[in-house]
Amino acid sequence: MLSGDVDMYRTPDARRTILGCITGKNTVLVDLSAVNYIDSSGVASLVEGYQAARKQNTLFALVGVSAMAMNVLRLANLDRVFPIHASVEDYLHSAD
Amino acid sequence: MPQWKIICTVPTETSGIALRHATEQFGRSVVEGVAFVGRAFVLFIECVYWLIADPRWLKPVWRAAVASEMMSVGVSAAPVAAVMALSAGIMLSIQAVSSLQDFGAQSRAAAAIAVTMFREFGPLITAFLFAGRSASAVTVRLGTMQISQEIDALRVMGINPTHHLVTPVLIAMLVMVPCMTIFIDILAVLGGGIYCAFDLGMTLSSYAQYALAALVPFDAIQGLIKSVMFALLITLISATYGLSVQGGPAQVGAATTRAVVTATSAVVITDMVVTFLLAR
Amino acid sequence: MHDYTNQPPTPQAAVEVDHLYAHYGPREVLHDINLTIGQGEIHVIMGGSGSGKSTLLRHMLGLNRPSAGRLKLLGQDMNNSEISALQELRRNIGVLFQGGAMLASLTVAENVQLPLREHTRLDENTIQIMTRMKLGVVSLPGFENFMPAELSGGMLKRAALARAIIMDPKVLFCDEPSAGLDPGVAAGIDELILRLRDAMRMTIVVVSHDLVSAFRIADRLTMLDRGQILITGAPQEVQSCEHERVQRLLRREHQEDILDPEAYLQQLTETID
Repeated sequence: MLSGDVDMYRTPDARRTILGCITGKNTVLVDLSAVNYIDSSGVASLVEGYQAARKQNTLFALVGVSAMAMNVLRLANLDRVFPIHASVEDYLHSAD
Repeated sequence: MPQWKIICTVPTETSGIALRHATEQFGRSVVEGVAFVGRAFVLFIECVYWLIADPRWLKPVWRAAVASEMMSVGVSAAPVAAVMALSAGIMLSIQAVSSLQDFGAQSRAAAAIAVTMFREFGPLITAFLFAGRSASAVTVRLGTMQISQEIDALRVMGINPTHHLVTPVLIAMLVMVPCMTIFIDILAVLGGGIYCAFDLGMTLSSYAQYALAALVPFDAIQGLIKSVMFALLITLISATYGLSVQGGPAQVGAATTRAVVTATSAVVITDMVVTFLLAR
Repeated sequence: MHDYTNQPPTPQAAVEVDHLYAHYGPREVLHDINLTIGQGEIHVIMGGSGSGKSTLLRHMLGLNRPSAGRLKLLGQDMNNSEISALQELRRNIGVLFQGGAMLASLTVAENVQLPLREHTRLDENTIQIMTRMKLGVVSLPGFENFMPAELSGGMLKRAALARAIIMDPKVLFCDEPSAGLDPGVAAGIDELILRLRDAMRMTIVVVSHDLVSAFRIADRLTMLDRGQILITGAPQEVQSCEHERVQRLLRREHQEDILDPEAYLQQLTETID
């Protein structure tokens, strides 16, 4: 769960958090619903996290992506790369 | 007839105008000269300020820039420097041997060569080499960047052009010019030795003994003081010309010519002044 | 920061120009310029060569100092601010220069990364991913290790655009983005500018003499002639403006056709005592 602004000052923290979650034994859902603003450095960390998760066969998905965040993802064509779900519940339903 | 009068006044008037133009021209050159010195001085202060205020020593970008400047300024100049040094040494040696012959003091040639080389010709030859080679390169590079708006681009990205472009050259020159001076000193004395061995049948080791006996540390220090000043002058002059280019490629060429001429003259004049202060 | 989801009323203008005058030596190049550019809009400043549009851009970027008047970028006075405040401001603006102005000694990737390395402490992986993302946005994937000299004009402009947007600036300035490009490539650049506004809500200030491109992208237009603003407004307003010089500019007629005999005589005899 990330919250607030993910900009170039705060990306290093967010990146550590995301990479720290990927242990290879769990499923990582990044909830962006509390993110007001995310810039491309934040998105870059999500990309890095997704790649790291795939290497360890960990499921990785974004949930609660706001319209703003969606625009940033879409600009870089990343909306077609990440598994994106409306909410955690929505993810659990689709996993069934 | 009124027309005649008018024609008669023409010569005096034109001479007045010519004089006025010449005076104006002179005044303008003086103003431009003073403005140039001012700009170069400001650039120097700026370099010192940035080196202290924003120590980029740790930034890899800056260190890489210094390293590549050192390569292009110094290391790749080594072959041509070696040729110049050996030739200068042989030339000095020929003159020394032939003029000392009159007094039967040919054996003093080694001392004469070593002292003149370390005190005067080493720093001077190095400075000429750098004024021709590096000054033109710096002016061309900065001038081209100026007209292609690369300098503006750095500025709007919040990157200080002086710090990004000039301080690496300055540091590289301050290190490489003294190093190159020592390199040229030694090779030139060696060149002299080769000629002496050939002409006087003197062995290189006895030549080296004579040379070393004549040299005192201050000879080398004097040369190094000069070479540091030359490095400063050459860098500041060429960078100031480069950064003040306006217009197109033709202006870059013109600025480069002026940079080389100014740097060379500044070196010779400074050399005279420093020699006056140090060697008497 | 900004909640882009429900587009709030813009609290401050992106660019505010207030009674700006500029001179080159004795010649006045900008005369009483007043202009407000709102956030999130594409504002095209149009005019022929010598109209003062490039000078106006240089003032907006803080590269020239005005002789009188004030200029604010994102609320920050360009000529009366602390250096640190200006430095902070520079992180929020991107500039696409006319010729690209890519540093010739660096590769495309190094050029694009330059602002990141200068202004942020992001780690290497993030910088690499961001570089590739931005090169992807401008459709130059895989060109990281090319030198600028190896790129064509259109590619160079796109690479320069990637550098201009690497910091996700709030305001992007473009100097003649379509100049020197063939129509297809120019249209591609326009497309990118539109996408950046839509996706990032970027304010984009474009200086252009290209009418087609200007009307394709502009939310609002300013028409500059001989250092003065003729009109500012939405494209339809400009189109329907009945001002003679505006109509002539729209019909691409040279301004020299409008002869003011007094000014012309003055200009011809300017240097004669």
